[in-house]
Amino acid sequence: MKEKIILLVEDNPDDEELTMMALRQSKILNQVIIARDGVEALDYLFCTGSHAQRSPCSPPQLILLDLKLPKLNGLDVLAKIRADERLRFIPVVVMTSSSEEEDIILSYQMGANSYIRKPIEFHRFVDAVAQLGLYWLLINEIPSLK
Amino acid sequence: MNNSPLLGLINNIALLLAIGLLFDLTLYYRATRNDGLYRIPLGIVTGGIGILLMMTPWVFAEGIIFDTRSVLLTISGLFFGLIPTLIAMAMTAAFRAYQGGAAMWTGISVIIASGGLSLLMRYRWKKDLINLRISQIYVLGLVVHLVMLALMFLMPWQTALEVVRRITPSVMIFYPLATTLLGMLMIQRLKRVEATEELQKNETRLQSLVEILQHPVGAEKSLLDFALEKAISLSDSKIGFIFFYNAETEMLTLHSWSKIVRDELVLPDQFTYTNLADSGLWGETVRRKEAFILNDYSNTQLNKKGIPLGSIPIQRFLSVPIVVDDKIVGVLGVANKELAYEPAEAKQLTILINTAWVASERERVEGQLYQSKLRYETIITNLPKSVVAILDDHFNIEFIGGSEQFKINGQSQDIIGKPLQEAIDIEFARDWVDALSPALGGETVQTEGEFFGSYYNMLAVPLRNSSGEIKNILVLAMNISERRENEEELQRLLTFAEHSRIALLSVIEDHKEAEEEITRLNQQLEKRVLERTTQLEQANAELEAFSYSVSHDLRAPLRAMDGFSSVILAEYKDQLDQRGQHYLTRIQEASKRMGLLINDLLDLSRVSRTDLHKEEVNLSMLATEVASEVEREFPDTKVEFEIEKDILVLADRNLLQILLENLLANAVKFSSQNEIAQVSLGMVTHADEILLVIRDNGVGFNMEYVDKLFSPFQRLHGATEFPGTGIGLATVQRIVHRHGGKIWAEAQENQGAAFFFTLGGVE
Repeated sequence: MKEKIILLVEDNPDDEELTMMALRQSKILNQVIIARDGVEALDYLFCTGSHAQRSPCSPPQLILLDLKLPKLNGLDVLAKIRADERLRFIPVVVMTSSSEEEDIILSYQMGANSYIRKPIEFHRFVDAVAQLGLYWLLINEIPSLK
Repeated sequence: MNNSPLLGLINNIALLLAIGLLFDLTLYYRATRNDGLYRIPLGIVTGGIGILLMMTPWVFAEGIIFDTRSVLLTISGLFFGLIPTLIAMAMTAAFRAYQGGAAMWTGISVIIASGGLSLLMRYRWKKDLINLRISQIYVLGLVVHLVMLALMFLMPWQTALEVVRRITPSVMIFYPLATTLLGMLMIQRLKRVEATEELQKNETRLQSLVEILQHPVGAEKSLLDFALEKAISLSDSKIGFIFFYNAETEMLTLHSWSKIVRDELVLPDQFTYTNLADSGLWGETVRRKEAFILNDYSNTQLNKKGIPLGSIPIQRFLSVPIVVDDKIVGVLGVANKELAYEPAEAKQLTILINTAWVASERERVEGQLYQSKLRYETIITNLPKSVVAILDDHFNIEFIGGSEQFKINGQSQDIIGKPLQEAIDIEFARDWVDALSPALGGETVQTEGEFFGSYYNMLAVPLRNSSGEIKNILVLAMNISERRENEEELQRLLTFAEHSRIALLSVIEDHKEAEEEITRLNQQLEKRVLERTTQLEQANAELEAFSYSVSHDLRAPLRAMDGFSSVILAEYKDQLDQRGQHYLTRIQEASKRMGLLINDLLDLSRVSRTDLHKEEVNLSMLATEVASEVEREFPDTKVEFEIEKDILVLADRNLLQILLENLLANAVKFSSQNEIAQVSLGMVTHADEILLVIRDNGVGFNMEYVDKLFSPFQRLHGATEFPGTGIGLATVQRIVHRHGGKIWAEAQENQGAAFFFTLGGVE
């Protein structure tokens, strides 16, 4: 069984570190690839740009996607993922600070599997990460990808 | 009996002459009656005369008797016809047989021969006896008596020779002569009777013409109808017609049928007009341009088209053209005389109908003239607002008319014939004479002036007689007073209208300026509205971007603060003293409060940004749901909610929920110090308005600060006493305002508070 890689798309280093800490505290020790903007995320997923040498060019098991990103925002990245034959069934969990109704609706329209507003209190943030990791990495099944 | 042959001859002549009288009687009878019964007595009388003739004979020898019975029977056969002659022959033959003698058969043979021969000739000559020549009768007489001489040889030869020798000279000289003379007498009788009849007819025709000319004045149609009936009776016809003919269009137009035809027949309408070419028999006289007689209708080859007289079959027909100035203008037709139509009748009818036509034309013209005169008189007499007068060259009044003639004559005709000077005021008369004089010189005078108290426009025209001399003046004076008044009135109105127009123009000018000003202001307003809208849209967009940014970016640092201080407290706790740990806890609490603050602010901005979707909402049910959430939010407080049932409102459900969350949470929060917090929601009517009200039994507030109640970030209580951001009521007020409603609060410190609000329509 291949290693289940998590792709974390997050531009805020604080959030990035807090997320990593939360994953550690939740005992989720999968490899986490970090992309700091939308373009980098797509480069990784399609093995282009700085990730052109990546081999094998296998997709991650789970994508944690922030919406407000430099260069290319989260919804655009989501649209590209869902439009690709190879990537379209990968679970994408939108994790963002926003509680704007509009963001939630658009995310689901683009095919997000889940939408999580990052709580301010750290212990609740850890709870949320633990639960989604457990669910999407262990409980949920997706079709085997080619 | 006298035996002198001379005396016998005289006797015979006298008796023969008697049949002249007999013929006269017969003719008279025939003229009055037409039944043929006279033939039997005529035959008997003739036979009687024959017997008398035989009783005064010329006795040649015993048994051989001569008399003039042959002459009698010849004349009878020729002029009296078959029946009387046969009777006479039978009577004389019987008498001769009674006399007997040697020449009995000879005598009877002579009777048969003379009667038979003359009857034969009567039919040979077709009864046209009146035109017989003397020679024809003489030859007949000769033949009859030659036969008679020949019959003598029925007797024994010697006797016959002797008789013939003796009587031949006298018989062959006298007997044909007598026959001829008697025949001439009879023809003269016939001619006299015919002349008498002709005379009578002529008298009737003359009388008809006189009657036509004397026919009372009326429609010309009735006169022509009258002429038609006369023509029918004159010509002994049964039926007749008159057609008008137009030489240019070649059309025949029916004027009328005779009365009998009209009474008996329903005539087809299409026959009322006929083209000459299609008219057949009826138009024949027009094509021939002369009288047309048809006595043999059934055998004619002429076109009989258009003859509808089914129940009146045509037997004989006569028609004549009606001619005026060498042009045919009509056709008179008559038909079905018993006897043949004669050319003379055609001539008579031509005279009659043309006379009638001329009379009819004259009558028509006279009628028109009369009508025309009547019209002119009516017009002139009633000419409105006028006086019409005809004056002679000495200014005598010959005629006066017009509706205002009474101004001159006082409605009496006495002034006719009087000079103008006597008829009207002498002063006026002088003026008139002066004014009218030029008309006698041939000028047309037109003048205006005041007469009889009114204003008149007077026109005087010279009237010339047939030789061109001016003998009269026609004066037409029209009363124009009213027109003058009307003209003055009109002038006044025009002046007024002009003033009005000028006034109106200035008003329009003002109005125009005002309109231009309004347009200009409107344009400015529109421009401003546009600018303002753009500004608002821009502001809205900025607010939108700001909110989005707040939502995303302001929270992340807080999370970092809370997150990292949590890590320190968890992983580096042993390296910090109590005070250090306390500060870190304070940092966490502050960041938490800031998170709440941001949430409330976003709520407030969302209330302004989102679209309003009004629908019918059961406020009571929604409030009950919210109340149970609020109860969970304040687990330490015992709350009693009292929510009025079935309050229906028209509102945006989401915003209404936010409103209730805030108001109910506030009510519970500020009543939490009570043993039991009592919160109620209900409706009250105040000044005809239905208000919603939420009351509590909490700490209330000082009404001094009521103004600050709904301002954002304003708090009337300390944060430690009652935690809060100060944004809730501002959000509530904004929701109420977005619904077009209003909200206010009434309270007393420690006596509870009441929030009244409307949503722009409560059901």
